[in-house]
Amino acid sequence: MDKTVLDVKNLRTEFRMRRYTVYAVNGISYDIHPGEIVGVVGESGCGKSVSQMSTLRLVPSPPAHIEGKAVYEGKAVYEGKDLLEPSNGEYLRSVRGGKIAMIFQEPMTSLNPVMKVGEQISEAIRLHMKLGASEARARTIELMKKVRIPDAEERYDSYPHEFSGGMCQRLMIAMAMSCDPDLLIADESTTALDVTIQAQILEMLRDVVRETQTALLIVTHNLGIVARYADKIYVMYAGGIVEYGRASDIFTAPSHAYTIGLLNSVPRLDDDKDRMLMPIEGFPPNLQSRPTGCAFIARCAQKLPECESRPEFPLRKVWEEHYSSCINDRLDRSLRKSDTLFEAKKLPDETLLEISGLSKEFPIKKGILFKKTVGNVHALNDVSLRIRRGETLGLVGESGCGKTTLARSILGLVSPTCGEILYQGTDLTKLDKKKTREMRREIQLIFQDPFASLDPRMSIGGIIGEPLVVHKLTSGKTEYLKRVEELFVMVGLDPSLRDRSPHELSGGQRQRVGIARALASEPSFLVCDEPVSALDVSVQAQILNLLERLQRELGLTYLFIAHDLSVVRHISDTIAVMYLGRIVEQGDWKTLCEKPVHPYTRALLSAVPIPDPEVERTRNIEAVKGDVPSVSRLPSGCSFHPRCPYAEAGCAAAVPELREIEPGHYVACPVAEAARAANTASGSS
Amino acid sequence: MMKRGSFLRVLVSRWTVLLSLLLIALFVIAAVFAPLLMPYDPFAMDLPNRLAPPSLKHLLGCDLMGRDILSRIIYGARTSMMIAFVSIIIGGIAGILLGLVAGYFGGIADTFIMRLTDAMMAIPQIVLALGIGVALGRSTLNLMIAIGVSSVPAYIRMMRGQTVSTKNQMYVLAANVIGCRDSRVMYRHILPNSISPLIVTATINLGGAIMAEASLSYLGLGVPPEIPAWGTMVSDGFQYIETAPMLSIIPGLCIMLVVLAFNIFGDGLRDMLDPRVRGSL
Repeated sequence: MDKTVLDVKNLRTEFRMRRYTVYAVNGISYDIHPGEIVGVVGESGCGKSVSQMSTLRLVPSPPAHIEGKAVYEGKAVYEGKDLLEPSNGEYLRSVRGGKIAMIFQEPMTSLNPVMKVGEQISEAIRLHMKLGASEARARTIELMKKVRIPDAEERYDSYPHEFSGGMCQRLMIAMAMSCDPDLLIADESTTALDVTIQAQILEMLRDVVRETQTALLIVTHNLGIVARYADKIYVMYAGGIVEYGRASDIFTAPSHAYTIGLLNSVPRLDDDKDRMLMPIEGFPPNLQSRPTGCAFIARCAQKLPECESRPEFPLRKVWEEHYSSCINDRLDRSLRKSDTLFEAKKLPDETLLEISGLSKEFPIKKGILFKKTVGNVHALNDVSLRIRRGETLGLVGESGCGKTTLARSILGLVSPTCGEILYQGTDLTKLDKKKTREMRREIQLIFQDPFASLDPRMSIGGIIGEPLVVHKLTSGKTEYLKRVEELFVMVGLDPSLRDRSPHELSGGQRQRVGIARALASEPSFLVCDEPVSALDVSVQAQILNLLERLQRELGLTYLFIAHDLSVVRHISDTIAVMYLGRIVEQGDWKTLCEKPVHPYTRALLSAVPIPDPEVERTRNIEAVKGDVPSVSRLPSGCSFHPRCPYAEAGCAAAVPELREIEPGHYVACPVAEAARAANTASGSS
Repeated sequence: MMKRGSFLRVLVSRWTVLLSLLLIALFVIAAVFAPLLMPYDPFAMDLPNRLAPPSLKHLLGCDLMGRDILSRIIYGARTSMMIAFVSIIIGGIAGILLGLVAGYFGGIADTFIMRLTDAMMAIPQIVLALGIGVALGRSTLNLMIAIGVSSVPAYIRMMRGQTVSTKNQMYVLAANVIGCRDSRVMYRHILPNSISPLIVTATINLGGAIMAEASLSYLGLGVPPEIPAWGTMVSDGFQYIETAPMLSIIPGLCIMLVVLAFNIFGDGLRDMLDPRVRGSL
């Protein structure tokens, strides 16, 4: 541990714009040792990516398009040479991409679409390692095998569009590993992938770096990932490092109020009871003025009187290799507060919405003049669901499984091929345009991306009040204004924001606007399509709590769609798991999360890392093979059988039916059902 | 929406744009306050002074009939500006409406409107305006209609493209979800979010409309001969280009300056509305 790969000292990055300066990174120091996996965590805008880009001078300086300047004052020492020293430019270029390699978030856009993937990788090898064509090819194939791309020899000549997102990310890793780097920087490199694929990639990445003794730096906002994979963790906030130490120490004894706040605000899959999340109130500071004192002070729940007056908060040692800038020695670390627990909901057995046999096919058309249907995308296949009044039904599944199509069918934005959707006895699929529009008062939608779903040319007040105007719900100006103000207060927004534009608000505020708009027509049923996945964890907790409070106060019913199982588990009463347009398992949250039966549910649950290194050390990921198949070419029989570790010969033959194996628990897998029956029989005898 | 301050700052930061704006302002003021600014009655003939060279009495000289050229230029600004603005408004409104309908509803409406547009696009704008002008007969209103209608296809195409891309934005879906009617979605959400490039084009086209007016007037299809208009003045003076060159040159110069000013201002406007360019100014 004496030798370091990269030693960054007092790194500062400022973007000097014409009229203001953004202080993105403010004097951070960190080091990485060979073979070590280091995690850098923080919320968006905290400077975690900029600091990595800065050490490699990948930040435009002077920027070509953005007006301004990035000034480096820090020293990144590599093999004794400072990468940030301007005279070492030539040297930096040889290090960048060769000895220090980066993997980015968007694998699809990082690959050249018109070049064969094998050639793209071997190009880098030939450039940096000065190998001949055939040697480079051999090495490329070897690397592709190492990142576990099946049939590497044949796939050498494929183009990027022939690979899935997960496979592209493997290729990017192969490319990054091509020149035997000493340090690999993975900047949110699995964020865009589905959880099962994310787990596959991260497990593979860890094995590869352990084998080659490469240092790995993981930049992420996901606490679960660093808990499972990192040896050392740096926590960043507002451009500075607020705490760092060994992963186990950070999670068992967090010593900064911000770290504690972060851990408190994420829902965990292993929460033992339905705990209320503790969000960090407020929003991160904007970095347009040089931060003085503690940057977190405005949001801190555990500040001391002297915090206000202290000018500087240097990192100080709290334990072996554990440093924090917090001066509060007696931080409250209790992660779960029993007194903030919600009382259990009492659900009446009244069906609000019932979906039966819903299917939707999108035809694939080909041809220029006379379009012929050459195939169908089966977005939904015989989906049946029942939602009780006052309930939250969580719908989980990976991308492309039909979650959004289901949501849009309920709202009448997509007309299903067959099946019916009964809302209090009315079939929504048979309504005409006018009736559908009236029904929109009752059923509302909350969008994933709060910014894109707000009209940029309208004021916040206008957006929230629009449903009132459209459905003529208020008479007169004063009543309208009163109602709009009520809605502002209801979702925790300051009514004085009424005249602001959406772009002037933060992500959390925008999502509140989206919720207020949905509530304006007093609906009883809300479809929430990934409402928190675009938000930072601390803000995510605020929104989840808001949704829970509104449900209790207004008696709302939710269909909560998400890909994040820990969020769904936290908010839902009942959970349905979808895979390729079918519901494969459904049950109440406790049964489904604790005693999952379907192999896909089990894989999904085990792919979610838990932000606790103690738990992660002993936990084995139940890996699924391969990628999600394309919805235009569904596998025969059970769609999951090509990836299923328990698949039997019969699985490919017939589509398994969703059967009730115990009251309220439905599973579509005869194999798992039989195994479970055998288990209980042997257990009881 | 951008802040007012930054809009003005960008405007002023380019001297060409500022200059073009001043020039436009000058001509607009001349057009609006023509009766007050004209030193003489532009229709009053003064035969002894015919083809008089510029002098202190007649700053730009006199024409064939002895009418004061400066007064006719000022009055001509009024005619030319009015024709340009009205024809752009006619063309713009029709084009925006049709483009919005074609883009929003798609299907048969789209096919019908766009094929019609393609057919009109096949004919050069000035020829189309000429044809319409001939068909309707010679009058100021008909001239405005001819220029307006001939510019419609360009607006339809642009508006349709804008609408199609705006239609797929999440906030338009959101408007549908809260139960807005199609008319409201188009008017309140799509129109405000897709109109800025059209405003820019319209500004640039103002110059084009003045050109078209001048061309048609020159060809004798413009405003009636007794009303001063720049195009007619160029054409009238052309016969005397050797003896009294100012007769054609001065109105020609005015046309050139106004067209140039509108083009430069339109370019500036486009840059101001483009956030990527705005940042660098």
